[in-house]
Amino acid sequence: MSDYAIQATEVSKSYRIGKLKAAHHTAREALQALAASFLRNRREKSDTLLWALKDVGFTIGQGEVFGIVGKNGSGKSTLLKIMSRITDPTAGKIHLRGRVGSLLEVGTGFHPDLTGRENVYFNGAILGMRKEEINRRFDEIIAFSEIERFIDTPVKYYSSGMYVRLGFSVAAHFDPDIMLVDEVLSVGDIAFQKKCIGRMENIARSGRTIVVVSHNMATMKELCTRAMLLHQGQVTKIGHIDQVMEEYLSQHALESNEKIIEHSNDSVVLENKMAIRRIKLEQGAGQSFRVYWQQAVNLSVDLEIFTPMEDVRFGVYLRDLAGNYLITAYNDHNKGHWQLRPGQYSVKIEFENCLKPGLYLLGLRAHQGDPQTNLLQMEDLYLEILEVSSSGAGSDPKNPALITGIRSEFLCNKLL
Amino acid sequence: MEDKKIKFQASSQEFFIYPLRGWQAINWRELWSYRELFYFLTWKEIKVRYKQTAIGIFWAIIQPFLTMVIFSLFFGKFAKIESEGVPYPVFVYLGLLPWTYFSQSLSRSTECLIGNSSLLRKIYFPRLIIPVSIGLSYLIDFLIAFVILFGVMFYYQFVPQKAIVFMPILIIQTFLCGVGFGFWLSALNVLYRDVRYVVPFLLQIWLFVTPVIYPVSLVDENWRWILSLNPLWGLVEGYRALVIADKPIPYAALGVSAVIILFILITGVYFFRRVEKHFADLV
Ligand SMILES: Nc1ncnc2c1ncn2[C@@H]1O[C@H](COP(=O)(O)OP(=O)(O)OP(=O)(O)O)[C@@H](O)[C@H]1O
Ligand SMILES: [Mg+2]
Repeated sequence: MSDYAIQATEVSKSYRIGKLKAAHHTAREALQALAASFLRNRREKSDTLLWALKDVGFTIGQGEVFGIVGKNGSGKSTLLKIMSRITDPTAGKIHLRGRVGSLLEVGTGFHPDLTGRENVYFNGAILGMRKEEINRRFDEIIAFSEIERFIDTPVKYYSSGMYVRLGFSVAAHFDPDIMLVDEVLSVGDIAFQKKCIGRMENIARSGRTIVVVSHNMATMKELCTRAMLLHQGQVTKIGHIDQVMEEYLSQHALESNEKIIEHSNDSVVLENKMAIRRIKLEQGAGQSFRVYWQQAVNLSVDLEIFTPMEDVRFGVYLRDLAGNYLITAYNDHNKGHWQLRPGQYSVKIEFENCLKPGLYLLGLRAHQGDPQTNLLQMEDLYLEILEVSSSGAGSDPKNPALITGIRSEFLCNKLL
Repeated sequence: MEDKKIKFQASSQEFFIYPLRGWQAINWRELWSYRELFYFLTWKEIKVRYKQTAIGIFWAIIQPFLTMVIFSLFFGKFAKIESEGVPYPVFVYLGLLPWTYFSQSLSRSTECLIGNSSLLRKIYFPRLIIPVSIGLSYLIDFLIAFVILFGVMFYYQFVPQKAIVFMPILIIQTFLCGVGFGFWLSALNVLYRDVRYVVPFLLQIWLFVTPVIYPVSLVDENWRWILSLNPLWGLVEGYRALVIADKPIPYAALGVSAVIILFILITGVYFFRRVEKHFADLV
């Protein structure tokens, strides 16, 4: 490709992890580490290096929408950070042609005490916009975010949905030649998500290059034509989005029947009110995230609550790989909404499963009051429904329709 | 389509990303292209500092003013420290002006990178702007406090000499002093969080080795030259000399101060530039 926008060659990034990384936080420990490094030999020292990226190379054409997929910790965000010059590669070279704008988080640098208007100007300036550029586009930004009424209110009084709306709007009206987007298209309610994707498509149509990272396969399929699969910091496949996704799904771990969530950005936590710590499939087929056809799904979810909350709606849903919602079940079908106090909770969920055998996306969602704003959403889990016999009945994925009102049971117990 | 491509090519700023090793020079062109961010970060600093306070920016006046009152009472009235022939409050306020500015901007600079960790981790812009904007934001407080100086002088019927018009030179020197140390301490604080515990202590000692409360004449002559290595020594003397008529301008001390500030500033920038590539990974 002669007129590429981005060309990366053998990009690597290593982080010092474990003891050595912590060691550099205080001078005393640094001195200890220094002393220790005299005693230790060099080879041992390299053992504490984590290669977040290793020899990554790719070329992205001008005007292309390029996707990056991979499991948690595979190095996607690290790659975007290097491309946007936030962090330095350990080795390798990237050639970028054009003004780069990155959207790695919505509302970066929003200050809670400043009003929406003030934050638009501040955020815009940080993204690299000129003041007159912001002035010119101000009305457009506000119209896109649909929060005109609150524009002179400090953003700390915003709902989390309003906050991300404003944050996305500012960034989406910055016109870089190359736009790097990390997992921010899944913010806000469904209507706003659609709008964001629409905006991205517009940007792409105007000839700009976009690099997108998302765990949402439906979004990726809609936006990208080409994609790259990262696995433990290395490129395992580059090509058409369909091929890459196929590869990704096939390598996606189904070997374990539980998922432990260590860092909170695995589950999209919009306000720091609650987090999911662990999800386990009980009575699955073997030690894996699989159930047999027509077997009820039993999940056990560990939640951590940070602030007291009333009226929490908690639900589970299944989507097909094209992103259509097939099943949703909420705790209000039986026990009513929950009142939660800070601490650890264990939630047992059981729901009827009437889907055809196949691979599905399992998601969890919690919200409070307004159903449009999530407290928490996570969907990074694949549930496979296995055939028992050759005949598979159930909902026809060719004609997906949302099934609600299935029999479900939600039990919530406080542990600590 | 062809046209569009050509246009993009023309507008594009092309660049390479590769591992940076060793010392980095300042990228003046880039700083210039981000010039509005200096303004916005400074503006945000000031705005946030006084938001939701009942009396807002008046804090900028109250802090040095009350300190002056208390120092005048204890050091001027009770301890009867001499004050070079001018009323002690005028004398001490002249010292407190640069001191308050320096110490506030220094302690805030120390925290500024850690405090902006979400920015550092998620967005690129020249990091040097952050400590500079801290220095600029306290400059506003300084100027407000400076206006009060005239109130104090008026109250004591003290007439400043005309040399006061040269004050901007000293103000710039004070600003550079704060920013220079700010580069060092903010970057060091990212590497070693101990710095934030050291700074308050450091500032306490620093106040004693700077002639804010006492006149230079109180210090044994043999000690003066070593104390004047403190860049604030010459500065505080300078502030007073520009206002008090029969006090000679301490050219030597000011020169020493300027040289040291320049040294701190240049080494600070280079140290900052050298370690800034690690900021996003460490904050
Ligand atoms: N500042 C850091 N210090 C040490 N290790 C880091 C740092 N940042 C990232 N890592 C490590 O680098 C690896 C890649 O992280 P990265 O954030 O790029 O993953 P990702 O593909 O974006 O994952 P996710 O899907 O969860 O967003 C991880 O193992 C992570 O622990
Ligand atoms: Mg990531």
